[in-house]
Amino acid sequence: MASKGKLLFGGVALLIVAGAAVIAFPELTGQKAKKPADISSIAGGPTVLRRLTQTQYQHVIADVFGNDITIGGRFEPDIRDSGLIEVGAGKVSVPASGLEQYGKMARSISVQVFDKAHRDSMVGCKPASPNAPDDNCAGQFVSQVGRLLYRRPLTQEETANLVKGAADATKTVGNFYGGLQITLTTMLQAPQFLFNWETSVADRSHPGQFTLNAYSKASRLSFFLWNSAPDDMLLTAAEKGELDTKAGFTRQVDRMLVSPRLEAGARAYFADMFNFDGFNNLSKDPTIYPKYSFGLATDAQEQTLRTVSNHLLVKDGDYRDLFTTRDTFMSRQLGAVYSIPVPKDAPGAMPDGWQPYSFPAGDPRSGILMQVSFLALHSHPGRTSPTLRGKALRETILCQKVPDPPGNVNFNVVQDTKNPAYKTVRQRLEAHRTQPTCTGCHKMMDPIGLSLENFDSIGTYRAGENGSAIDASGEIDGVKFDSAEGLGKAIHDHPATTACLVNRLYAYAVGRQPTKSETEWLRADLGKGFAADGYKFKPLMRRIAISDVFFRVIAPDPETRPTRQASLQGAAQ
Amino acid sequence: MTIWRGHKAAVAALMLTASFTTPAMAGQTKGFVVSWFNQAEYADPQGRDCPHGVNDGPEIYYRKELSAIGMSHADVEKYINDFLDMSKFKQTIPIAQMRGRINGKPADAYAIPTSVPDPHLKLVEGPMGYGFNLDGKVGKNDFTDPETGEKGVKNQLYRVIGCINELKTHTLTDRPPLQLNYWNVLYEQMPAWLVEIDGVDDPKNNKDVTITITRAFEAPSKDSGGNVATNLTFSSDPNPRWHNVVHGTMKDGMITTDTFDMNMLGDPFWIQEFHFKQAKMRLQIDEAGNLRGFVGGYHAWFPFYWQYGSEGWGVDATNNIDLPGFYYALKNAADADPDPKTGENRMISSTWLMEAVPAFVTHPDDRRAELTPTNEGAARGK
Repeated sequence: MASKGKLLFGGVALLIVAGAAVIAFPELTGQKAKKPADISSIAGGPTVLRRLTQTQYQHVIADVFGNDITIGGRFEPDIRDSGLIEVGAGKVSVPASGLEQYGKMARSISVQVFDKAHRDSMVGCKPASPNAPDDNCAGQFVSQVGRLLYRRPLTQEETANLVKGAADATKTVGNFYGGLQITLTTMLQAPQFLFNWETSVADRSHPGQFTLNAYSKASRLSFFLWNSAPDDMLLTAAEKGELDTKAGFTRQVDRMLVSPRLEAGARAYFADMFNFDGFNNLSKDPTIYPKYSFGLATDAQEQTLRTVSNHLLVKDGDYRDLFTTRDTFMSRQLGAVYSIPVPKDAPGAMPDGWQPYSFPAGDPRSGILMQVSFLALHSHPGRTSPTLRGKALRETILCQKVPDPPGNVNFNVVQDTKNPAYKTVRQRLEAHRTQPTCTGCHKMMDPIGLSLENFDSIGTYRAGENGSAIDASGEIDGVKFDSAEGLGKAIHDHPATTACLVNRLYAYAVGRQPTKSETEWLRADLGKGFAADGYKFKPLMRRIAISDVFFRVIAPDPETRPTRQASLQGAAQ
Repeated sequence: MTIWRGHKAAVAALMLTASFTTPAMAGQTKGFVVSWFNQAEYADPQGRDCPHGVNDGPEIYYRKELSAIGMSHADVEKYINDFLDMSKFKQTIPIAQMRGRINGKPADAYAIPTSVPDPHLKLVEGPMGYGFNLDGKVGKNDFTDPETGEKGVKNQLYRVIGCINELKTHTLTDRPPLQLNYWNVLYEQMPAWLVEIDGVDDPKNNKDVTITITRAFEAPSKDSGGNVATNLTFSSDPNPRWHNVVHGTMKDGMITTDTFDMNMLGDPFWIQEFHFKQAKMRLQIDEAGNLRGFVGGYHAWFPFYWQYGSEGWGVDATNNIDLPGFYYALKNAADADPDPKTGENRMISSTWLMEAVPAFVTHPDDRRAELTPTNEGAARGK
């Protein structure tokens, strides 16, 4: 067994404690930078072809056609890679069954767009005859809508094909709007819509390097900040070449950062970072936790996202304080779990039933780790799991990878919650850790999670378990504490907490893991800038967006990329 | 800091769950939302409640009553066969509904139950029944409460319903089937009933406690286990019509109240309004923090008929309640409030089982208080 210490291997550190390995990038271990990164030497990563996530699809449809368009159907499941769905989105395709689903959704949306309530405002022109093709009017529609859906102007060939398709369909169905509806259905199933295409061009400012073209910049920026497609102003700026100038681009970034739509972008990022998609597969034993329901799960996520949004965007607060803040928001259903009243006419109560709430000093709860979303998501259906909670904290908040358990683990001791010999989880885990293969990793996770044992599998407070008082002491990386509040403070002060956000937010923005040179830059430059800004989130987003690195890409690979594009186009035909 | 009354109530209710004996928890208001309110029935383990069995089902009483109005044996048998045939039973509805006779002409047996002769339903005959001695007298037909041993218990409503199969409680712990059905249908739609208990300074004995029963603006909710959700927040309706306050005393953990009148808004599907006279209550909070008790009082008997009578054949035929018989039984069993002109009693004694779970009760109109967050640690005695 290795002794405690850090071993460095080519830029990747293996933090080894008592034989357990937590794989971490150097910036996440709190190491100091050796020297500032040379930005001009950062090559950037490959362009990424990302499939729209479910929320992005919904946002784009709402932005283009209005909030009253209902989207029915089942989305292709997103996959998580490197801790983010947004990174996984660059590694997925659309199978035949998925195309069927996208087809159904496209038809449903098109029908609504062309119903009598919507079509006049949507189409924007009147056909010469309602029963015959009108290429001018059809062309106007596909150009305007296509620009928003494809996030760039349509090529002449694309427009011509779509107009011809609309004319042919009009002749078949005998109705102009019916024909245009079929054309819109086609556009909504097109890979140009379903995937976020990035096109690289030579970077004139940095000879020998590549960057994204203006429309790809607009999309990357817009999905990063707003989690939706570029709006008309951003596309217009791209058309005018403003995004290729520092001043013009910065003007757009600053416009987007003050937009109310920034909240949607921030919420999307944190929902991704916090693995909230896991709620889709989360269940609790109703005989043990009858308060858990789909509604509670929804409110739990909403509470954390409102807390984050309010703290980071409205108050412009320090990111680290998310782990210690007593300010949050409360719904009636959550009040039943937190055991607090939620009067509907309390000061600050909102029409949607939510209201601001502050846990008073002395209350055992503070910070987002003690909210239902974290506590419930990382627990078993019928019992808590300090191990799952500790693992989740390491992986989602500190960006550290905890190795998977070996396949032959005997879980009997930890699963038997009624064993009188081991009344508390702490006792059961201590017994479990006597197995040599388990000891190492559990020491990395359990002392973190055990400090949250005062909260059961859905986050309800409990003072004891099976008649025994709960010992909520814990430890992380040498910092000891005696309560969940202490854990929150330790995470607040842990150097990996802020480094993780920087690293992961950048990965989210570019849709892939940072390259080695980007990682160095994130640690040396962006991390320092984040600290200089008082760990405020909006300035961090701005630093990423306006950095020279954000759009830098490596030279296109003539072998692989066209092949993937061709296969997608083929699949859509 | 001042706090919402309901806030205090809820905190106190939770504290009760954790450790009722902690002195620091004393003297606070406990809030509850009613999870069950229906007729209290005693299923006598010795079978003394219905020694002659339960009342007949519709095949039998339809035979009797249709024969009584002159239908031939063959027609009656055809009716019964059609009634039992799923493809034909709808055709039999008008016959059953119009089996009443007024001056020899068909009459609606549910709208005018006296158009059918009294079939004399079987009534409860046992000695035991939940409730209270509402008038201070002990008569030979009165019940004895099985839990308190109180004699002179007046509960004539139980006497009427206790041998009707669908209205009868068959064990000490189960719910009467038809009442349960109604309750389940209306429960998440009807505004909740709220109970607040003030003045519990000692866990077992308190000379003066105050019980307040009000109606909420919100309906209760059920949890994932199908039970009434606990610890939800409810806003008390300030309407004085549904605001009942009564003094009580706690002795050995049991709260008994003074006599009072209790008025509550029900539901059109159930009993539209409740107006109990000379009511009494006894309540107890169990170790889990839940409330259980009984409300006894005199109540107009006709609404109890009309709850089912208004639905007519559906209840009469499918729930085994001979509605005209039910009408006569209530009327005959009524034991209070004689009509000055006819002398007939207009009210019937009754006892109702009330169960409730912890809830936060807030009073939106109460400007004496303002919101402050609860201290979860303090709430648990930390």
